[in-house]
Amino acid sequence: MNAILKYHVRQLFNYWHHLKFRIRAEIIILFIIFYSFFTDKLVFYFNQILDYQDTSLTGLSTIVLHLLMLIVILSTPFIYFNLFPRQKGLTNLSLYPLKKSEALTTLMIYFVKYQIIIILIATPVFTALMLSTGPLMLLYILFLLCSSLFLSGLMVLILASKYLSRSRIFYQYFLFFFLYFVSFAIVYWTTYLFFYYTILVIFCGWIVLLRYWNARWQSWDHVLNRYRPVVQKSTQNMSKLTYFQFPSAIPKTVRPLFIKEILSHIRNKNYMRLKIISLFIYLIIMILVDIFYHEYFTTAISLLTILLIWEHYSHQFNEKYVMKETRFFIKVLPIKFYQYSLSKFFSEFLYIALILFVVLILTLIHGIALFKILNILGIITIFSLFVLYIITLIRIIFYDNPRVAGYAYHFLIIFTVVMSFSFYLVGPIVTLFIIIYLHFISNRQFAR
Amino acid sequence: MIKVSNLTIRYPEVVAVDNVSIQLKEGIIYGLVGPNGAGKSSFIKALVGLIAEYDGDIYFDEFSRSKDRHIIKSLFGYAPEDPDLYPYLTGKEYLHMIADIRQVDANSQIKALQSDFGLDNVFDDLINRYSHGMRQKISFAAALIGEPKNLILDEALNGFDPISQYNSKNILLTLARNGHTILLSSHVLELVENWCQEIIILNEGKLLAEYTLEQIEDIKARTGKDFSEHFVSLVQRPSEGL
Repeated sequence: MNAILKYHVRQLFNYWHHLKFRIRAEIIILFIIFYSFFTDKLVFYFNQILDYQDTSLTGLSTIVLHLLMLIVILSTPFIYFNLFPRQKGLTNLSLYPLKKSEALTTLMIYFVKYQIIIILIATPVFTALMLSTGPLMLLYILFLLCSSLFLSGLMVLILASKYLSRSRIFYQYFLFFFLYFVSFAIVYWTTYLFFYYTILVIFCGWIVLLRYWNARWQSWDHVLNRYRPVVQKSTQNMSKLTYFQFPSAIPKTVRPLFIKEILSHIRNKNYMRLKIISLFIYLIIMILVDIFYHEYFTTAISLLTILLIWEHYSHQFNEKYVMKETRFFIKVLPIKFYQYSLSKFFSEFLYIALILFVVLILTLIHGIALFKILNILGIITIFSLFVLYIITLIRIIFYDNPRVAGYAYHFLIIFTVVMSFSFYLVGPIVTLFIIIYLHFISNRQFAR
Repeated sequence: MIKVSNLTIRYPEVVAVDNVSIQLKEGIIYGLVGPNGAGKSSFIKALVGLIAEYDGDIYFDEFSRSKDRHIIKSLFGYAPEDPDLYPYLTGKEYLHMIADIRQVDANSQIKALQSDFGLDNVFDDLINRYSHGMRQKISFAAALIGEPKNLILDEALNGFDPISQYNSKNILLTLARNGHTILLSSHVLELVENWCQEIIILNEGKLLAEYTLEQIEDIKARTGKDFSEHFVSLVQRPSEGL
C-alpha cells in the first residue's frame, strides 16, 4: 500500500481505538438506529411509489443516480474552495518533496474524504432501494460503483503518467480537479436536459473532458496562481465599538462575557457578512414567494425562517465564524455556568430578535390576521430558543472540538424534528429529557 | 500555600504523575524541571483544574480542589505555554475582561504591565495580530491581574524578550516578597536556577529531588558539576538524588 495512504488509514484506526469503549458503543448503536430508521421510512416510501404511482424501476434508479451525482457535483466547488485550504495534513505534506504518486494520493484522500461522508449518508437510500426492488437494483448499484472505480482509476493513471513540477504539484492538481468537475457538471446537466440522459453520453463527456483539461491545465501558470486556494485572513479592521463603551446597565456578573461575545461577533467580518447575506437572501426569497406563491406564504415564512435559523446557527461550529472556546476560560477562570450560558444566549438572541422583527414586518405587509401572526412568531420564537439553548449547551460540552459540536447540533435538531413529527407527544418529551441531560453535563464542565 | 498529597494521574497506558506529595510555601518561587514526559504539565494541569481525574488531594490554603473548586479558581493565576486568547479582543480589552471576571479594579496594574512588557504599540490591536511572544506576555499579564495569592507558570516565559524577562523576574520577586506562592515550570535550567529559591525535579512521574539554592551550591562545591550536569546525571541515575 502507498505509504501516504497507509498512514492516513492508520490515523483513522488510531482515532477509533483512542475513543473510550462507551463512546464507540454509542456511535455504533446510534448509527444502527439511524440507519434502520431512515431505511425503514424510505422502504415504505419507495414501495408506495412503485405500487401506486406506476413508476418503473429504471425511473426510480435514475432519480437516485441523479441525486447522487447532484450531491457530488454540488459538493465539489465547496470542497475545493472551503475545505481544501483548511486541511492541515494537506498543507503540511505540500511542503515536502513528494513523489507524484504520493502527492496524488494525498490529494485524492482529502478530496474524496468529504464525498465519501456524503455518500455514506446516502447509504440508507441505496439499502432501501435494494429492499424495495430486489436483486436487480443491487446489480445496478454494483455496476455504478464499478464504473466509478474504473473511471477514477483511469483518471489517476493519466495524471500520474504526466511529469509535474513538484513545487506546484498540489495547486495544479487542485485546479485540474476543480475545472474538471465544473465542466463535468455542465456536461452532465446539459446531456440530461437535451439528450434525456444516457450513460453513454455521460461516459463520453467524461472522457472528452478528461483529455481536454489534462492537455491544458499544466500550462496555465497565471491561472494557477490566481486561483490558488487560500484560507481567508480574519479581518484586521476593527469596529469603533470597544469593550469600554457598553452601557453600565448590563449586570456585572455577565458583563465581561457578554461584551466579549458581542465584540467577537462584530469584529469577525466573516460572521457579520454571513448574518447580513443570510438575511438578505431570506428576504428576497420571501418577497418572491409572496409574489409568485401568494397562497403558500404563511407556510413558507414559518418553514424558511426555521430553516434560516437552523442553517445560520450551524456556523457557530465553524471556526471561520466563531472561535472555539478556550479550555483555560472554562476550567481555570472563576466563571460560573449561568454567567457563561446567559452571555452566549443573549449575545445571539439579538440576531433572533432582528429576524422576528423582519418576520413581523413581512407578515404585516402580506396582510395576515393578527392571531396568525402571533402564531407564526410564537413557533419561530420557540424554535429559536430551542436552537440557541442547544447551541449554548453543546458549545460548552464540546468546547474544544467545534466539529463534533457541529455534528451533535445537527443530530439533535434532526432528532427533535423527526421525533416530534413521528411521535407527537413522546418526541417533545424525549427532547426535553435530552435537554435536561445536556444541561446537567454542560453544567458539570464548570464544576469539575 | 499549595499542598499536594499523594497525587497520581493515570492515562490509559501510562502513569503520568506517580504518588507525588509536596508543599509549596508562601514567599518562595519554586522551579519545576524535568525531561520531556516527566509529568510536569500533567502535574500543573491537575493543580489548575485542567485535569479533573486523579487520585490524591490538592489544597490551595485550606481549600480542597475536589470540594471547593470555584473558590480555588479565585486563588491562583495561571499562564500556559500556548495561551488560547480571544483573537477579536485587543490586548487591553482582554486584560480588562479578566479583571472584570475576577472582580478587581486593575486599571493601574494593567497600565504598569503594559509598560513592563513593552506592549504600548500593540495594546489596542486585535490579539489575532500578535506574535506568539506577545500572546505569552498578555497571558502572563492576565495571570497577574488582581495579584492572586498563588501563581502557576507553565513554560510561560519562553517567548519573552530580555527586557520583558528582566521585568518579569522583578515582578515575581516582588510578589514572592509579599508572601505569594509561585510555581514556575521551565525547560531552561539557567532560568530556573537564577529565578527560583527552590527547585523540584520530576522524572517519569515521580518526585526525584527537591533542592534549595543552598543545597545546589553545596552540590556544586562537592561534585564540581554545574546544575545542568548534575540534573542530567540525576535523571539518568536517580540514586544520586538527595
